[in-house]
Amino acid sequence: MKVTRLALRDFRNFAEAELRPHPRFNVIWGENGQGKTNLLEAMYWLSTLRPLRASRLRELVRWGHKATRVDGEVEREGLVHRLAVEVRDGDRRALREGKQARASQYFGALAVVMFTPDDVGMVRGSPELRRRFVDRAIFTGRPAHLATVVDFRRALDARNRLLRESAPDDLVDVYEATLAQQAARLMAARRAYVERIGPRFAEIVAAVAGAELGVELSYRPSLSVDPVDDPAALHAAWAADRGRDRERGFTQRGPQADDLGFTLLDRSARSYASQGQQRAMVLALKIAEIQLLEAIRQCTPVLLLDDVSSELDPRRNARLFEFLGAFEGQVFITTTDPGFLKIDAERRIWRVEAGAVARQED
Amino acid sequence: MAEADPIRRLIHAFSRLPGIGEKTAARLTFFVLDADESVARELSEALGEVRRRIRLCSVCCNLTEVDPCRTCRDPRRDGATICVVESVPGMHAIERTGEYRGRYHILHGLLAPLDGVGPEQLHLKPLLARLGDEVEEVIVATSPSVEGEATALYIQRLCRPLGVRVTRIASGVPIGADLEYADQVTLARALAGRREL
Ligand SMILES: Nc1ncnc2c1ncn2[C@@H]1O[C@H](COP(=O)(O)OP(=O)(O)O)[C@@H](O)[C@H]1O
Ligand SMILES: [Mg+2]
Ligand SMILES: [Zn+2]
Repeated sequence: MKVTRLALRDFRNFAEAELRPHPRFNVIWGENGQGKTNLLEAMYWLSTLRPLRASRLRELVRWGHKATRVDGEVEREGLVHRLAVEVRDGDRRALREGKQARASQYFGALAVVMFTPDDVGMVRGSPELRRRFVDRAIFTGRPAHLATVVDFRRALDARNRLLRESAPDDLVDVYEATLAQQAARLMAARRAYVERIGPRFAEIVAAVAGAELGVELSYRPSLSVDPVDDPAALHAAWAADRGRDRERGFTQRGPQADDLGFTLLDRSARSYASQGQQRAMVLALKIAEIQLLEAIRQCTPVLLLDDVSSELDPRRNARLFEFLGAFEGQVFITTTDPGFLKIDAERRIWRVEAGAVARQED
Repeated sequence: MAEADPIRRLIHAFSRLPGIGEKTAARLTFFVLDADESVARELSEALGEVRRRIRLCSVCCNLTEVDPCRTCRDPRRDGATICVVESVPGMHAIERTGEYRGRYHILHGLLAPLDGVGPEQLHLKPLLARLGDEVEEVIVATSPSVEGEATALYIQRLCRPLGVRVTRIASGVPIGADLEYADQVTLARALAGRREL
């Protein structure tokens, strides 16, 4: 799939912008604070209906304005799909072919994989980053996963509320059973995904390092029962935790505290891998994510790379561009210095300056 | 403080209805003002009457003019099964299928701790009161949402000690809906819950 047209109105610092991107490489070039990431965020929002960085939709609307809208045309297998998302009167609306669509009917026309400087810290950073990675990656290939995450969250919030309100045991127990159903679905999806991406990830790391590094990726559920997604066992575990959870006022164990483990020769990469090795791992993980989408979903996502070259050393940067050269999909890549980017052909350069974007002749 | 003028008051009243925003409320208000006087009269009489004459059926909690309601009085219905639904529209949806000839019970809501709805807010006591000798099966027809599932489980726990069989309707793809238009979540869950044939 390729984005053939992108238009922004009152989105972040863009008043009005329109692009007809190149089907292969789009270099988005500009000084810091000019709107490069905002431009990628617009595409991310168009694809996922979730803001990339903002916690509230209102932050997406250009300051002093009331509404914002992003329009896109996406070509997929020879057909052009028109997508749009807007915020108006504080509400978000998604449109397909100009008609309002429910989120669950909207997804699928545009899949994006984003790589940002935040991802570079994934191995070392908080478990939250790794959970977000795995749920986003599953969602990109299987949009219904979003409902799994949302329903789990609702059930969890409900149990927490009941604990804090000192609700009677019979009612809490019913919510633990409901939570267990939702959690089992979520955990099964996460486990299956990690089992699939793990071997590819290890292979790519080995290829990048030119040797067997002995890296491994594993799913580390916070509530470990056997099998990992057995609702009855999860239910029993929460029932056993209930007394302590009541004192704490929240549910301590569960998918909300799951983690992924990166190991290097059986040791935690978080504490033992060098900074460079950690970055190589994250790069390999992203590449594995894309390959998995292509192999299993037969879907070539649009890649959004935000300022990643500046985070990688020259050798790993070269590996990244080797991968991009072989990748057949469309790529958007931001930079403050086009000198970093080893892309000479099949490209269009976009200059971003103070919320305006212009095509620059090569 | 002066009272809001009648136009603003009506706009405000309309905008409190579900699915009606400020704009539509204004359009309805000016429609009523422009239309024949009988439109306004009929509307206000009907609104007043519906609140005055409709109440809950003391047996099944249906909305009714006569108590017990017509469904509860119907002697041709099978008293051995009670279908528990969230709302009156839910009951009508099942009625329209023509497949069910048992009785109903309407909860008027689902358990929703996040919205402050607990078991006391649902019409569960009258349900338990009905589970005497005749009733053999309670069919829980709540939606497959988190709230619907939790409510179904709660009802199952309430009924179990009384020796009544509790069943849950299957959830899946609406029949007749073109697969292409069935939404992804419904389809994904229908696939996950598939049965051996
Ligand atoms: N809602 C908004 N309205 C107007 N300007 C915004 C809004 N949100 C962010 N900005 C501005 O966007 C700029 C940051 O853009 P960004 O895309 O992150 O820059 P960069 O080019 O460094 O990636 C900042 O100058 C910020 O003030
Ligand atoms: Mg940036
Ligand atoms: Zn009745």
